[in-house]
Amino acid sequence: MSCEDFVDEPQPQAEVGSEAVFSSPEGVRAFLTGTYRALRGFNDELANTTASNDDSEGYGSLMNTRTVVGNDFVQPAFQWMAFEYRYLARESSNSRKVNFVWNMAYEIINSMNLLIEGVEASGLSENQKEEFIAEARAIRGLMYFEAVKEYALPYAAGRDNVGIPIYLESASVASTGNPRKSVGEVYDVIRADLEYASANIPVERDFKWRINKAVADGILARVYLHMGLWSEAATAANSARTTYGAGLAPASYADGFDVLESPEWIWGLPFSADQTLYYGSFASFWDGTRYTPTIKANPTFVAEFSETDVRNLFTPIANDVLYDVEKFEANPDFGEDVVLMRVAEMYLIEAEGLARSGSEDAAAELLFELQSNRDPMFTTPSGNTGDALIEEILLERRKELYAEGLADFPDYRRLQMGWSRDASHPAAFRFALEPNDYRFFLLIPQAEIDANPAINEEDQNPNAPGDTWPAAK
Amino acid sequence: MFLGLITSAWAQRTISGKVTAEGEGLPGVAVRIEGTTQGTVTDVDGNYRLEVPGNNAVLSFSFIGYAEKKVTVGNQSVINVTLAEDVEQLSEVVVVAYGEQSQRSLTSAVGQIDETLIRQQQVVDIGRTLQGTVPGVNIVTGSGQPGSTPQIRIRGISSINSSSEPLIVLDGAVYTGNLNTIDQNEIESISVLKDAAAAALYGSRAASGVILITSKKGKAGDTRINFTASSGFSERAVDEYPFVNTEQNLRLEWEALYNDARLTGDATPGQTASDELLGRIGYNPYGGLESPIGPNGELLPGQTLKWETDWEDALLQRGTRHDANLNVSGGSDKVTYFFSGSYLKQDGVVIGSDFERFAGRLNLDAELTDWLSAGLRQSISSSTSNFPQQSGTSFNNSVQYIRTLSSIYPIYRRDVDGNLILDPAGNPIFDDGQNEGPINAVRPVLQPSNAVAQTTLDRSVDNRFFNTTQAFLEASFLDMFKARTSFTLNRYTYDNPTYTNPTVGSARTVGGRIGRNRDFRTEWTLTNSLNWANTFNEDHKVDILLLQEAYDLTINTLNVSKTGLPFPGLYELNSAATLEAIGGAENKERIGSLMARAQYDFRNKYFVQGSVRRDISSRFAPESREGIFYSVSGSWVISDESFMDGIDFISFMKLRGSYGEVGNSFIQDNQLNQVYFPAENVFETGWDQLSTPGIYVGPLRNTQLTWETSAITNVGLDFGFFREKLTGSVDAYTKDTEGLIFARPLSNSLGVRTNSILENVGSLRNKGIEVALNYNILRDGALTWSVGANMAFERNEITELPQEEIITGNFKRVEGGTVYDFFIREWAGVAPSTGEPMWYRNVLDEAGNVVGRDTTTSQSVAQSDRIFAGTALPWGRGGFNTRLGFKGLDLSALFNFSLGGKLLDTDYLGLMEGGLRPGQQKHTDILRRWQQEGDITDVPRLNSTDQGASISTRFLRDASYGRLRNITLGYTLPENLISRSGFIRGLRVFVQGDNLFTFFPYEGLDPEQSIGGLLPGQTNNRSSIYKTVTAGIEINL
Repeated sequence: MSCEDFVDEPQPQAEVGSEAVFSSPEGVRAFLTGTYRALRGFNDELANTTASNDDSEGYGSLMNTRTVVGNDFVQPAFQWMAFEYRYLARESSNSRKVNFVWNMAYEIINSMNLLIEGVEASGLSENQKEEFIAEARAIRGLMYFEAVKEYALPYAAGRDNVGIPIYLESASVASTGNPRKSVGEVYDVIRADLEYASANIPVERDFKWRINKAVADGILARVYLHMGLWSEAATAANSARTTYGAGLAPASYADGFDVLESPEWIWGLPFSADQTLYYGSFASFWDGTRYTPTIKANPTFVAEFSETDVRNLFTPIANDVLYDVEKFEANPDFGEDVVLMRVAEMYLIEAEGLARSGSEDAAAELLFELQSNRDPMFTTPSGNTGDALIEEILLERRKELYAEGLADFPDYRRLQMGWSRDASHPAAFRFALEPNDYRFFLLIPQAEIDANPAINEEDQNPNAPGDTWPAAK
Repeated sequence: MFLGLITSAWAQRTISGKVTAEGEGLPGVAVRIEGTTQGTVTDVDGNYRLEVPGNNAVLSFSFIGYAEKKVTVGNQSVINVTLAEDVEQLSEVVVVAYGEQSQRSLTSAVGQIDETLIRQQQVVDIGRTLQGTVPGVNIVTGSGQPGSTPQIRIRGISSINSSSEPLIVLDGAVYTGNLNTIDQNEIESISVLKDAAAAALYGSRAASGVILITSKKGKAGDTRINFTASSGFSERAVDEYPFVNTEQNLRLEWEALYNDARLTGDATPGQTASDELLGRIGYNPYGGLESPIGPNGELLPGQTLKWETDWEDALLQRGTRHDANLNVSGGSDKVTYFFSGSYLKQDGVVIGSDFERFAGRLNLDAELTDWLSAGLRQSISSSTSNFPQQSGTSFNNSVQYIRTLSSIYPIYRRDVDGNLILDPAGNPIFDDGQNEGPINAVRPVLQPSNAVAQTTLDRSVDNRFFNTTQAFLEASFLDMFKARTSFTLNRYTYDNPTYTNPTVGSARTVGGRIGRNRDFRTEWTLTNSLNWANTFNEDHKVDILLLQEAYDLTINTLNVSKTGLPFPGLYELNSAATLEAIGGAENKERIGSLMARAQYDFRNKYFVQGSVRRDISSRFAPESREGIFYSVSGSWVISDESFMDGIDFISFMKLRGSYGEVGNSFIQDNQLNQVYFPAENVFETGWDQLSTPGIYVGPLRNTQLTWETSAITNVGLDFGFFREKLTGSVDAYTKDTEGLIFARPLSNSLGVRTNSILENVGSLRNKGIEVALNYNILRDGALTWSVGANMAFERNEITELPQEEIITGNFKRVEGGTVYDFFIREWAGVAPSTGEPMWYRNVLDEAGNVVGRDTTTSQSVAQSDRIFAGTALPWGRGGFNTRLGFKGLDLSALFNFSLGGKLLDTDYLGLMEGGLRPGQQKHTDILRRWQQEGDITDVPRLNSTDQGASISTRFLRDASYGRLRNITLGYTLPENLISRSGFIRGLRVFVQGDNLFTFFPYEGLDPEQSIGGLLPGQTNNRSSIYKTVTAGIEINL
């Protein structure tokens, strides 16, 4: 054996080359599967530590982050998410959270760019290519959407405001960072991706954690709602729930929100005893059997629920004014599934879209269908119209979607509303935010500024009253 | 012819004289007439008398340990001779790459420590014996866990994303296992190859230097038996940080709430603070549900403490050390042997931590025929180490626990009144801070956990088994050739069973967890060599070595964890119900090499050497995997030149010079794991979604990646003055690393895993001066005394970067800076009016130019300006040692020091977080906090939102320190006392202390932290190294 042969022999064992991935549908499907897995538990590799950080472990962490910054929930204990609750996490451009959201979104965006390029160059059938690219673009569009909401002003504040960098090609050895594009350009990408996905993705799917037509339409409905495209939002939301098929199943609301097969779940992520995030699991922040100082419910929020509402899953804490939240059940083995989209949200998007696009009657009808479904004693529609109807829908969003990272703070942000925390919060954390207050948004990670030649200190988001937003490039 | 005989007979006459050395008559010197068998020896006074055949006769005077001297008789009748000590004979043989050389013929920079210095120190990891003993070698242990791997740096830091650890070579074969498996009693010497001429024969792996460890061999002669045993105590070498007591802490917590309320316009902030105090901290160490601190911030009258936990006392231990070694050596003319067996048990600083090792070795050397010899090096070592967490951010890191959890929180559960809650059997119950109840139930700090419970109930054991077998065969032929073949197989097993109890802590909800990690590491080296050595005309010596080597490393890992135990105290996987995780992987590396070395010397005075090695490594893509590494060097023994004859005080002087190139292929990822295929773009398997297999993009790779190359220039001077009373050496070097492997940061938004790409993009220069001196102040007579000192000065400089600046974490790299230049915010103190923390910020004019500085209270990095705040690298370090002997008594000491460099004390930062984290442990410095308007202090006000304790120059320390590494006092019994026993040859008793004193101004901080790794120049709640005092006995039979 020659010296060269001797040295040629060792090859990577737990890894495969890209030729193998894109030469068969199975390979591409495995890549997509791995991407969903990454979404489940994204470990911030920049944190420079082997220890996992329970507050930054995948999509579920993003939802909890959006929950603790609002008014409906209180995190009195100095525990995971305390920095978020106290608005300390967003104050430093070096904080873990600022990096986590950014890195998660862009890592998955890059992976999907790679997948799209690989599939396009492959010898797969045109039909196959279309389906895979549709799924990849749905994931990519979703990640741009999640990121732009955190790091830029809402779409309604103006298309020309500064957004986030856009990448439609995978990173290579020669790549350098892109500049912050305008909010409008980012939303053009998001729309294009999700509209393509909606048109080309199959209705059927082998697992409920995959994005199919129903899920793509659901994401698109969220995007339209955010953009103020009200009738488009209503149409997409309707398509999402009707394509999904199953209707509201109120009994399942109290089942613990831990099973992917729950009939109301359009989309979610699965976990099992051997694939968990341990204390970083979503439900760890809610179920006191695992971790006692969980996030608590604000009594003024609990007061919005009637006794008979199936969603009234709160128990008062002895010697305290706060409430424990029973919505999410933590399994002893950490293996609880995480919800990402439900039928009821589509009802609410559809209702808001209709109400804001001149179909108030249809909106009120849909809202009542949900309300009466949740509370058997809710037998009379409110009869609200105009702003009152919108108010009612937004309240219903908080009540239906609480702790799922969709209502409360995210709605105030999307709608450019001012709001403040009430007296249930400790004095030091009773923040009052103006519309488009700088505290609605995260800072651009310092590491991005340090490494990206196209983003400099002056491209940083505002971090004090009176700071101005930078310009898009 | 006849005439000649007559002449000769006529010339026969008597010569007399005296042979002296160091001014005294030297007895027993052999005086011979060259070319004859005639001769005599000197008498007790050094006098001799001898008949010589004539004026042409040449007398030779020789005595062991002295240089032979030849004198032509001429017409003299009295010939007095002064003998000088023989430099070459006195100088030891130095172990070098693929062989040995005399100190005299060495052309390169090699530092070596011998058995005496190795055995003098009480270590678990043999690498630590190099600290302060070889100039230019920096060792940082950074842990009180016995057997934890120290970081070793030779001549600075020559790499950033490749390992800066030196290559370890054990008995000639590369060794990648853990150094703590090697027993120090088996080791003859440790050589440190510092320059390229010394290390180039190790080619692509030698850029960070090479450490050669050589085990002992037997010597022909009587069987010698040596038995040594010692026992003693050990405890942490550095005291803990000073903490506030419970009452102080409660009042500080109250004050944080008071400030919170005051700042939000509360009319009665004192009352509010008292009302909220127990809700904030969750526990009342004074018992009851009422705040023990009144609205004026003072402790209310009549309060008595129910508990005040000393976590340090509960979590750290004073341990013991026991050490015993038996070795037997000897042999005949044909076969020699060395056998060693030893036992070591050393306790660590954290409760339950220990290290226990059995090691054995048999080295055999045999001359099979007059042309064929063979040898065997066989060693086994088995160690078991209980290794509780003692660094990092894990909840059950005992050190973090002490520095995070204050005395407010009890070890055992307490009821509302503060009394112990007992289980039905009457025993106290560990409190993990996660209970039901109005008070003493929910702890805001490190919850759920109880480090005392977890450290005592949980298990994490490092079992290591190491076996090395080396066999070699050597044939000599045609007088000048030697062919040798050697095969070494190292088998290294690491087995790590873990158990997390189901009662308290992180595995409570899953009913306990049992895990097992296993690594099998097998490496073999096959070396074939041919050596040709010849001498021409007596003056020209040539030695040529050709080598061929194959190296193979296979690492096989398996890890499993299961949960769900029927009851506590079951430690095997079979006992657990649910599979939680399972994984395994294999990595492989191969290197094929060809080497040549040529040495030439003229009259043992001028030496020249050259070497070349070609490596092909499996780590890199085929087109970039071949590397050629070469070196040239030479030396000149100046003191042998005739022009030096008159300069008596110089007994030896040699000038050395070398140049060469070496490589570094030990590429690591950002978690510092070795990357065996760093140039391949791959998808990782194992990203499964339940049972659906998934793959995911791996890190972005540059397929052109290859090793770093370091070009090293070294100039050295070795000298001996005053007949070798003062010896030493000075070396100056420059080490230029090209093609520096750098994890070039990529914009996070590019979405590349690890946000970086490994590339050969930069250049680094390390330069330095090393001095080693040894002075035998008194070397004859009853009292002997010697002192040694060594010192290294180092400078690290980035000479080329792919971009203007690279900021990673707390460091910024620019050309002209060092690899670890702190780039952090500059602390501006505390605003006297508000008590807020302040940092400096640049003031810019409209054109963006800096026109001044002001301060900001903003927490954001973007709102202030980071500055270069110094390097983490020391500029100098060294050591002293001294040895004093009087009759049977011996006293020796070893001291090492480090000068310069900064250390970021984030542990102290955690203790100064003030009001940010409820109930947290606090440093006594916090008592200096700002309290009211006008206070001038450097500690900000306490409240729940200020992050004054964030990384800035406020927490940067000068890391210069000194440490008394070892002091040993021994007594060897006089021979007349022990000779009566008949078979005992020698008996020595000794006491020794290691790390007894540390000279460092910051209480609580161990200056030995980290010079590399994940958090260089930064503390990480690591346990302090331990000091050890033992007494022992050594018996020679």
